[in-house]
Amino acid sequence: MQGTTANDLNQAYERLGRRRLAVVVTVVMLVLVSLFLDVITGPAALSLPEVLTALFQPGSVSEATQTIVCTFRLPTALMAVFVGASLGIAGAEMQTILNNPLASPYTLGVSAAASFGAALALVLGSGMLAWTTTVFVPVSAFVCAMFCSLSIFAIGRIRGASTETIIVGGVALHFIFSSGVAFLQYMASEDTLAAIVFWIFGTLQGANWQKLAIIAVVMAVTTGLLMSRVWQLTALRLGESHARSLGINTERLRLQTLILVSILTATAVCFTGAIGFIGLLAPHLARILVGEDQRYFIPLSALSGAFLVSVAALITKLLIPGTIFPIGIATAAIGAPCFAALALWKRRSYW
Amino acid sequence: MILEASDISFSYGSHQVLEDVNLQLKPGMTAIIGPNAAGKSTLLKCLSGMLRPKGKVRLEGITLTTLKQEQLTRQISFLPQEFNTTAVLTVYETVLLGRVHQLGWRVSDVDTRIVNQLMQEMKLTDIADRYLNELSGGQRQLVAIAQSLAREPSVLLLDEPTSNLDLRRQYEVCTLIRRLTDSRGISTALAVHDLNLASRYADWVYVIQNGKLRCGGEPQSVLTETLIAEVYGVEARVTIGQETRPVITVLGPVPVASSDFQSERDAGNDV
Repeated sequence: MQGTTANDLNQAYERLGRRRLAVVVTVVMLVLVSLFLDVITGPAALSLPEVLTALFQPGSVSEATQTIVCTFRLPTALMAVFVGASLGIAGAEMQTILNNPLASPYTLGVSAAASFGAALALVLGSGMLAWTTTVFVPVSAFVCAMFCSLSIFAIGRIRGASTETIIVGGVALHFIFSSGVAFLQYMASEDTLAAIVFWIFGTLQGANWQKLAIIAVVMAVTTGLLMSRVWQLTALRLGESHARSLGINTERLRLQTLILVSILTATAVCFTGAIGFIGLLAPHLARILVGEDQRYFIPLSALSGAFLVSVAALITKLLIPGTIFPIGIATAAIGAPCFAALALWKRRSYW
Repeated sequence: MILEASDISFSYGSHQVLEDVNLQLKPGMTAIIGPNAAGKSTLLKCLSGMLRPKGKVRLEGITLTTLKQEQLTRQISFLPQEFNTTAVLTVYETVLLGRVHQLGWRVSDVDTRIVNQLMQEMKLTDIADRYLNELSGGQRQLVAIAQSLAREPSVLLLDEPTSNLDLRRQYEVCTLIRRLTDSRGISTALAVHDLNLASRYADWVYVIQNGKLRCGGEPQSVLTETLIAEVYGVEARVTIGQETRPVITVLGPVPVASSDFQSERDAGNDV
């Protein structure tokens, strides 16, 4: 009798694992479909066969088609996927280590800091045009984003600081950097202002294979390191004292995770600008679908983020045919109502 | 294993919580009793190595501070009183997390076997795939205890493990802890408020009052009417029950400091 029950327990746990794996695989497919649709749509009127030929037999299409597909569409579409995944993971781990459902790169000011860095570079570097947009802006955005993340952590190190203190600190930083951006906008010339505004809205245009490679490598390394701590991160959500009693060095784990997440976020936002709500929404979707066993939670947060940004990218192209509007507008437009709907629908039943 | 505290003191800032406490946990069950804020939880945290008190805590003669975190966690399992979490985890996953340091990417058969056995022993199989947020306070407490035991510790420190349980569950859980303590040779210490639980299940009872160890020993020598009146300010009748263990019947609170109580009652009798 007892034997069968143990067996039942094993089977139930394995069933749960299989169900979660199925969810992950399903979302992988959704991302692939969305990626495919993203590549075949765009302002240039290319037929489906043309795009497919350009992708799989690059020699046999015109150079123009080749350039549109392989130099513009494919890197941009992949950029959407990687940035979305990065933001999804960053949001998931921020919510985990700060034990707060509202934590995300956006709400804690990291995106605002990146915007400030970019705006500063644009204002200061308006003379040397070539270098400004390709190097100076991303570097400055990266530095400011890292600075913001580390400030958040420094706030957390203050004696007696709780995770709530960190959240409040993050929100304050968000507004400080936002006001900085507003000041720079006020000071900027008309051309620079346009560039700043465009950057702040978040844009995938300007994606290329080099940027993509950087993001992919950073994501692979940071995610790998996070994945090596899956059980500890899962246990962290049992609460501070409980995790500590399990022998987890919570402070060190939080610091390490925050640094990894900061690098991940800063890399993602320094090339694309502020893409809001993904870091907030993706982990919530993942949590509802597979719970918080981080072996599934991290991949699914990444995939949800990737899917959301990819769909948003598609929408920015389809909504007004012939033009592409900044993606940050689309992610906020999709993300905010979804987030509100989740909160209302799930209410008390979780978090 | 024997866990021994010698002259340990601990303060939060300027607030002294423990003062020169000496005690020894041997294989078997030790109850730590005392009023609220007496320092019971702090004592358990010091014994677990989570807090570093002045004085020495030794496990089999080895000072805790010289042990690696891994060894410490494997030997000593401390269950904090509060278990408030919003984590979206099932009961099974939560118990499994007790083995956080052993778990690999694939959960091994050893880990699942240990968890399965515990889940059965603690009658948690029916709620194994329920999520934590669907549980009652008492069920959560059982899950937390199961998680503590899943660590297979040599020393088990439980901070009020029965505070949210109904009467029957209190006795069931204590019986279970008692049985595992005996069969696995664990040195168990539990902080409890219910003196009858302490009396019935513990081999030794230690009384903490205002951060000091007031006395310790076998239940029948420690749990006396005088001590209960002095420590808790409660008038109680102590009778001898099964296995010569004291049974405490609380008659009512003593409204003023216990030393004044006797004279006041005498004065009342005179009227």
